[in-house]
This record gives sequence, C-alpha cells and structure tokens, in this order.
Amino acid sequence: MRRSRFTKFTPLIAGLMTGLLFAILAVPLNAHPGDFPASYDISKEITLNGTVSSVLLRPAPGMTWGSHLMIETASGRVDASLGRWGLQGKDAVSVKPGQQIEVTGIMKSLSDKKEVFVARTVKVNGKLFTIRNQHGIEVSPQTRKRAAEKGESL
Amino acid sequence: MNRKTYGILGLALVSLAFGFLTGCSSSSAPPPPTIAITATGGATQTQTITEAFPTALGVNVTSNGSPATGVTVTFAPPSSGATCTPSATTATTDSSGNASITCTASSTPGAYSVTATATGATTPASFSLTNAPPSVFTFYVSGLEAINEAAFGGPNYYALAGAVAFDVSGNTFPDANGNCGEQDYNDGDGITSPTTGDTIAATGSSMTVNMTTGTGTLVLATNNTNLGVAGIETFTVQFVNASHALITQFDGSATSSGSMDLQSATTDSNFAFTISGTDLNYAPVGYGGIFSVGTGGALTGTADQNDNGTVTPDNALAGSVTAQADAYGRGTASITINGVTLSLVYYNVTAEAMRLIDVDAGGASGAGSAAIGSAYGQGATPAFDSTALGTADVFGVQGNSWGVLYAETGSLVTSGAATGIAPATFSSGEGDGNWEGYVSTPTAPSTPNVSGSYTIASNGYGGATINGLAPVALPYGLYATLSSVNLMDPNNTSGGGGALALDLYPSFSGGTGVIVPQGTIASDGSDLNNSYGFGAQEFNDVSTLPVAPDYVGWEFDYVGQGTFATLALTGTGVISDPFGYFVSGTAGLYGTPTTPIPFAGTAAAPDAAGRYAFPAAGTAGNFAVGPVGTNTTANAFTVVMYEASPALVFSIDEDETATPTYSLWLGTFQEQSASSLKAMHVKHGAVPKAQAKRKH
Repeated sequence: MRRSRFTKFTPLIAGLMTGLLFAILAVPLNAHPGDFPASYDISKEITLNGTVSSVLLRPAPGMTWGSHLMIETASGRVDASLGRWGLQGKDAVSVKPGQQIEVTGIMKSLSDKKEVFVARTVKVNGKLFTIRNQHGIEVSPQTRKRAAEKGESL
Repeated sequence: MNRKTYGILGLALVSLAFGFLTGCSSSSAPPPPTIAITATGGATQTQTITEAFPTALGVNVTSNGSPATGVTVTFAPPSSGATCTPSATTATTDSSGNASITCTASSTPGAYSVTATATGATTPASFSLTNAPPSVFTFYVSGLEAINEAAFGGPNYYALAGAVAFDVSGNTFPDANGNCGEQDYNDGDGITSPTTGDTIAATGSSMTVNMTTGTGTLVLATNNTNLGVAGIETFTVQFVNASHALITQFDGSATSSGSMDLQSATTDSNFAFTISGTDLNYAPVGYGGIFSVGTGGALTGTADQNDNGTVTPDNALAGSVTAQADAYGRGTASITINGVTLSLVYYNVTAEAMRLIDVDAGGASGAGSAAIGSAYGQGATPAFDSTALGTADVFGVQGNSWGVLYAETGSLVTSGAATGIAPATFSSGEGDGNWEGYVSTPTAPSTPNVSGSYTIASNGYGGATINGLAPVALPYGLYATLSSVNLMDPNNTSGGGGALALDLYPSFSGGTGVIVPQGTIASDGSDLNNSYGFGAQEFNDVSTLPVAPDYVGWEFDYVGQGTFATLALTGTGVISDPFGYFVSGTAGLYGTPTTPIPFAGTAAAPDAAGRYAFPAAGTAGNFAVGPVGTNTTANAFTVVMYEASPALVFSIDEDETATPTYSLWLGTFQEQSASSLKAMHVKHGAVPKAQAKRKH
C-alpha cells in the first residue's frame, strides 16, 4: 500500500532542512572570476539613461555572450548586455547610435575588472522592450510573440 | 539295380539337389539397401519472425552410400508456436540425392527443430531453427531546429523520440502496413507529429554501420513531410556496443544530440524522471521527480518544476497512462504538475528505462510546449537513502538549448551517507562549469573547489546543493534510481546507480543531468587506454546563420569514435553545423562515416578527482577538431574531462568569453565493446578511408 504523502515527506523535509543548513554553512572553496552574470537579483536593479554610441549584434572579444549596446551616460560609457535575442529576431529592440535610451538592469563586474550592465528592460522612443525576465532569463522572439498574442506584457 | 531303379534314384537326387538349391536360394538373398538422410544446408539458422529463412533446408539421401534418386523426403516443423511454414511438406530427391524446401518463420519467437525423414531411413535429419523478434531501437534527440524559421528569423527548440525495427540482417522490418517504426516530433511551434505519431516506412529507411568503428547512418522515411528533408530524416549513429549508440541529426534540418538503445518491454512500476524543454510561453522549463504506475495506469508522485526561473519544488504529480505501449513500445500518458498538464508520449527502452516527450502541439495556433527526457526504474519497492549515491560520484548537468546555455561537470566525495539516513554531505570535490563563457575551474589539480550536501528520501526523491562551483549555491533536485540501472546505457548491466538531476537555480531553467558513481582512478591515465564512442551537444556565440538581423543559431553537435593511448586521443567523427560555426556563413554537415573529421588532443594525467585537462585552446596538444570544411587548420577547444569509470568519461568545453571561441559543451566518452559491435546484426557500412586497405 502506498504510504501517505505526509508520512513519506516528513523525513524528506527534515533532510532538506539539513541540506539547507549545510548549504548556508558551506563556504565556497574556489575563487571565481568576478560576478556571476547568470544570477539576477532584481532588488539590485538600477536604471540608466544615456545615448547609444554603438550597436553590437555580436560581442567584441572580452565581452559577454550576445548582443551589446555601448551607452554614454553621465557617469561614463556603459557596456549593456542585451543577450542572445535583444537585438535580433522578430520584435527585437530597434535602436541606432545617437538615440536616447533608458535601460534597467544590474551592473556586474567581470574577472578582468570590466563591467557589464545586464539589461532587463530597454526603453527607446517611449517603447519598452523586455530583454530578460526577473530571473535574468532572456526573452526569445517566440516568447515575445506569444505574449503579444495573449495581450500580456512581459 | 536295373535301369528303371537307377532312373528313379537319379531323378530323386536331381530333385533333392534342386530342392536344396532352391532352399538355399531363399535363405541367402542380398540385404536391403541402407537409406540415410543428412542435413546439408540450413541446419542451424536464425531469422526474424515472419521472414523466410535465408538458406533452404537441404538434405541428401543415400542408399548404401550412393545418391538415392526419387526418394520422398517429408519435412515436419512443429505444428504451432515457434515454427516455420514450409514451402512444401515433401520433396523428392534428385539424381544427386538432394532435396530441399524453404521455410518462413512464424510470428512466434523461439527455438525449435524441423525434422526431415526419408522412407527407409531410420534416423531423421534435424534442423535447429530460431525465430527472433525484430530488433527495435528507441531513439531520442533534442536541439535546435533549422527549419520553420520564417516567423522569427531564427531557430526553434525541438525534440524527437521514436522507435525503429530491424530484422536479423539489419534490414528494416516492415509491419503489416509496411512501416518499421513510429516517432513523435515537437518543436512547440507548429511542426509536430499528429497525436498518433508519425509512421516510419520500411521502404526508404535503413541503417548501415561500420562494425569496426561503430559509426553509421540511420535514415528514416517518415510520413511527415515537414520534417527532415521532405520527410526523410538522416542521423549519424555512433554505436558504443550492439545495444547503445550516440546519435546526432545529420540532414541540415536541425542539429541535436541524443541516444539510441535496443528496446525491450518496460516492466518497472516506480520511476525517477526528468524532462526539459520549452513551456507554453516558449520559455525554458524543466521538471523532475518520481512517480508510480498504479492500478489501471494511474500515475502518482512528486515533482519539482523550474519554469522560466520560477522554482516550485515538491508538487504532487497526478495523471494516467492513456495508452499502453504498442508494438514499437510507444504509449501515451498525461500528467499534471503544479497545474500544468503535459501530454506525454513514452517509448520503452528497457525494463527499467523509458524516453518521454511532451507532445502538446498547442492546437491550431501551434503555440504548444515541447520537452524531452527519460524515466528510470526505482524497483518494485523503492527503498532509498543517502547511500543511493556512491562514496564518490561524477555529475554532469547541461542547460537546454532554449535557456541559459551552460554545462557543469565534476566529481564529488560523499560523507555521512548511511543506510536509512536521508541527508549526507559532499565533503569535497572538484568541478568545472561554463555558463555562457563564465568559466569556473579548480585553482589547481587536486584542489577541491566544491562541496555541498544532499538528501534522498526512501522513495528516491531528494535534493542537493553544490557550493563553490559558482559564486552562488547551486540547488538541484535529485531523483534516485536503481543501483543496477546504467543511466547512460540502459542495456548495460554494469556501471549502474546514481540519480537524475534537475537544476533548481532560477536562472538555469531547463537544466538536467545525472550523478553517477565514480570508481578508482589510475593516476597515470591508463584507465583511458580504450576505444570510445563520443559525442557532445555544443552551444556557442560564434555561429553565423541565419544572417543578422535575424538571430543566429548557437549549436553544433558531433559524434565520433577514437582511442586514447597514453592520454593522447586519436579519433574521427562527424559534425552537424547548420548555423555556420566552423565556416562563416556556411551551413555544414562535416564528415561522413567513410570520410570523417579528425579529433585529437593530449590530456594531462588525471588528478585524484579523476579530472583530466587538455591544454588550453591555442596550446600544443589542445583538443582539436578538424580541419573542417574549407578551413585549413583545426579548431581548438579548451576541454576538461572527469572520469566516472574507464567506461564513462564526461567532457566539458570551457572556452571563455575572453577567448575567440565562445563555446561550451557537455559530452561523454563511452567505452566501446569490440566484440559486441562485431556481433551486431546490421547492414555493414563502408570502412573509413583512413582504415581502408591500400590498393596494390
């Protein structure tokens, strides 16, 4: 006879709690090359305004994967990562050098002291484009299309 | 005596003599001839059910050692069950004493004897025949689709699973409808198989394999003209043994990686599973958990979900088997996890393994979901604990092609595992990861850089956290499987044990993998002195097709075969590169089984964790592929390997953002069995040019 779900998972919950304890206590044993671009903490988001100085469909050497915008801001030039689909595919961001732009995301420090701004949203000419979701996962053209079909905002 | 007396006496003597002679004649007549019958052809044969045995059942009949002409020979197969249907039950010997019939195997598998008797022969001739079931192989792949790009200007995710049958000669085995298999295809965006699946026609389908290298080509003639090239799908298969192959699609319609395994009925009722793909919003998703098959096909269990970064653990899984497996091991099921109902097709692999594919096509809109994965047995009465993992283990996890692109592998030493105890720790270990060019490695050989903890409940449901591999703690769902089940090669009776893994870090939706026991590592690298089949699914940021402003693809796949000798790899393979990684602006299918692409490199001796490092790309001895296409030099990759055992080695490509290659992969080297390959019942493929005999 199959045991009740409660009975089955009581030890599991205890185990998971134990695991969590270990996870909290454990200290990373290895140095890592800068921030982890894949993690995204939405509480650390900032918004930048500036002028697009260049549009890179493909990364230059040393840049993170995907497309990039170089943005001149009041505090200097920022390398904004728009990921695999930000500037490419259906309903991608359309922007040219010289245009004003507003980007929201998180600044990350790479191993070689370079910084990259991981963009979650881009606003150009009053139009908002969602590049990544709140977990930092890039939004594909297919996802954009389905959201539009459902009348949902990303 | 007078003359009359002498006459009577003489007559009597003559009569007596005549009578004596006559009597003598009747008691010393020549003996009857010795009739013998012997089998002269087809005495021991195996044929696939319903197919004619290739060699006629031949006999020779002699009379006193000489050919007996005109003798009637009666052939008698068993009357029912495993038997064969003769072309005639009797045959008459010719002038050489020979007679023969042909026989067609019945539909019942099994071994039996056919006897042949001849009038006057005391001992019949006997034929030992065997009716073999067809060899059905289950295949599954996933990757990027290079067709159906018009709507978005770029590729789709796709998944494919199916089964195909072959006879003992390696020919496709037609069923009553002329088909030799079934498959289910789903890109979640309009190109899908019907709910009944696609059929694979015996005519036009084939598989040829070089039995020395194990490399071959599988062609499937489907009835779905949206797939492959007008319905014809081509794969390169790299057999590791007669029951298991690594495969990659090789027709330009898509690029993908997966495996193909000899099929038998799935009989277990408790399973661990993971599936990965795209959700109804075409965002990355992964599921993992455990389920039981109950009375009437009811499915119950527990599952974790990582859907586009929203992680929901410990959900109830409920559903049912909606169709039992058919002749190709294909059945259907429906499961609901956290409010999401998935329509699944399953294909049996072994008693303890199934492939799963999500076939939610999305109706007329085509806005469905697509995912693929596996379920592995937990036994009739699951009874797991922390000892489900070995004292040392190797893990390999990879994102799906629609989520964050990454690969992770490494070794872990467990501590505190005990019978009946769910939690334990990873006291130390080494790991490598590549997340879209962000690479993490141990700082030096034999320097542990990872640790963590895990827990496995009695039903096999559990989780793990690995610290140190990335700057954040990485959580995983773990789902334990029987210690007898080999998670990479389900028909392999050794190398079993471990667990399936689902990535539960939000950003890594769709990531799945395995953790398997690790054996003792030979410090000199001699563990690798074997022949291997190998393959990998590669992700990159270098591909060039389709041309911008459409977005470009980001995957190539390869399979191959080679040997390590003193840590030096010498191999060959084929590469599916529809998005122009190797030659800018050019889609390529590089190499064939007869003219393969070179793979080479020399690794350093392993450290204590079983970690082998090839020199970094651009350094002598690096992992080199090619030259490919019009390139004049080989492409260099930075590759590290972790050995689970001499039979299974994981590889990871960890080229970084700072290097010009921008690539990553998770692959395996799987030890080949030469004896098993030689015994394969397949159509023989050509020998690669490098191995062809020199013409004189």
